[in-house]
Amino acid sequence: MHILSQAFWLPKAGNSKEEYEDAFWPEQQIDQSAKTFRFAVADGATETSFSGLWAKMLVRAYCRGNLAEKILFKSLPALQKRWLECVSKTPLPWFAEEKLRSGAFSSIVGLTIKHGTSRNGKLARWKALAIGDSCLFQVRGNKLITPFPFTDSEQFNSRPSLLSSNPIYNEGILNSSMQKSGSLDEGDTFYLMTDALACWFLRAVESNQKPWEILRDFATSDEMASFSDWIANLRKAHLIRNDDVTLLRVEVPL
Amino acid sequence: MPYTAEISRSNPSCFLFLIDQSGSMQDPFQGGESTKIKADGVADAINRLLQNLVIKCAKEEGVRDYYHVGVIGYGATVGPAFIGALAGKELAPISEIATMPARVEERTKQVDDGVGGLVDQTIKFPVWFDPVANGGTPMCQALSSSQSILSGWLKKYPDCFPPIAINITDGESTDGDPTSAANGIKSLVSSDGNALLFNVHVSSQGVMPIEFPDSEARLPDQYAQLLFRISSPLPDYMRSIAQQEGFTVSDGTRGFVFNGNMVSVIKFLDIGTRPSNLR
Repeated sequence: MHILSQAFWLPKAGNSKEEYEDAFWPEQQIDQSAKTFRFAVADGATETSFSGLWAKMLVRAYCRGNLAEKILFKSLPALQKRWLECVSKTPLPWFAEEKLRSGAFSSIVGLTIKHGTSRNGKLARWKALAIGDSCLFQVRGNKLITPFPFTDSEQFNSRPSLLSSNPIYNEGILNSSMQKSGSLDEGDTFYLMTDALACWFLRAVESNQKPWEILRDFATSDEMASFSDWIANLRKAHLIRNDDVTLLRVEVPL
Repeated sequence: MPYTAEISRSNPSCFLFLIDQSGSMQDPFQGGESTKIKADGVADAINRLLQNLVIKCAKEEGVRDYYHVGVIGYGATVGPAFIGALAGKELAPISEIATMPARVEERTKQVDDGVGGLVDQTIKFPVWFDPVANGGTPMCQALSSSQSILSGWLKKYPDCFPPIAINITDGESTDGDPTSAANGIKSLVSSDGNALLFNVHVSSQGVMPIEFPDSEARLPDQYAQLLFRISSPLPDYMRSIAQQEGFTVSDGTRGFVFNGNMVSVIKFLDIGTRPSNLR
């Protein structure tokens, strides 16, 4: 099975690149054949510290196969321990220490694609895991066939339930984690994105537009500039919330 | 729509605390059984508010200046009440507040141990204010002085999220009815809406705390009722977060707390994603 993927990202206006707290994996463009592919985007919460690091650890863990839904809670303790080790290396001032106690929080949406011929003759199957408000959209034949986990732009607010590096805050998170699976055809495209862009996407769909027609045309790495310009214009027109933005486009070419 | 301006380092907002330091603050806090005096309650309240505001703005690289903060004390005198390195400053960026407490104490608190029990944890408790109780309660003068500080702020940041003034008092003004001076603060505007005035009533009465009421009917005395009346209604977005936090709210809900905790107001502020499972 052949897959193409490419990520586009931009920090919140007014913030530096170093302050970008979304994460995505893989970081490089993909244009290759394999039996299994994994993709993920995550969004570290602004109000917690070292959340960019936590988001990065989560997407990497997912793409190594360590965060599949069945083993999510088995894998988390090791990740949480590693996060704590990374952030506790140097003595911190009182406020940083206090903030650290709450832990970092992040959303994540992960997509796993596996090649195989099923009974109904489909090319491949996919399954996805989501915690929080990062979303995945599957488009086939110029139609949105799967929005996940959110299906309505009204579901977005600034207070989602997120995966924490502090175990005491994850007690109810099993109820907030969502899984979905489906089949995959040649020509399908998945768009994984963090909340600001996902909210714009669903709003556009609700007004009978086809927002993927814009997203599919950001073609190569030379297009990063035009992605940035496009987001800047959306922000200026108040059509998208000023937040870190991440888009990971995954295509199954015809 | 008002109260939607983004709070950022380039367009910060402002908090001004007004602290009653009058002689009546020596009376016992919350009824006879408490060994605390009201001035202790006020010092705790302001230290906690500042601590929470600093933590809200803290990131791994330091504290981001989303807010500038001032504290006006009123009692024997009226004026900036910071002590230590911040003394004399009307407003300071929150990063300076973070790094310049008068001292950092260690206190013990019980926290969830993650497996159903509680465990003692030593936490650092920064102190910016010690209890003060001396002189009258010139609340009108304090409100007027705050109006002039906030007016200067608004000239500098005309498009900011409107400033919030939080008055912590036992309610008994000695220089007249504070309604008109309170209106002076509430009439200040940025392009995003009117400045907000919230009140915390620290009382000797041993009644249950009342937080963010929508009517004065259940308030126990005339001072509480007056402070309720001069408090701004919570803007829509704050009301919606208050509701998510478990408060019962209506269109009439005001930024007023009786013998309770104003720290929840810090949670009502939107500077970006806050996990709903972070309590």
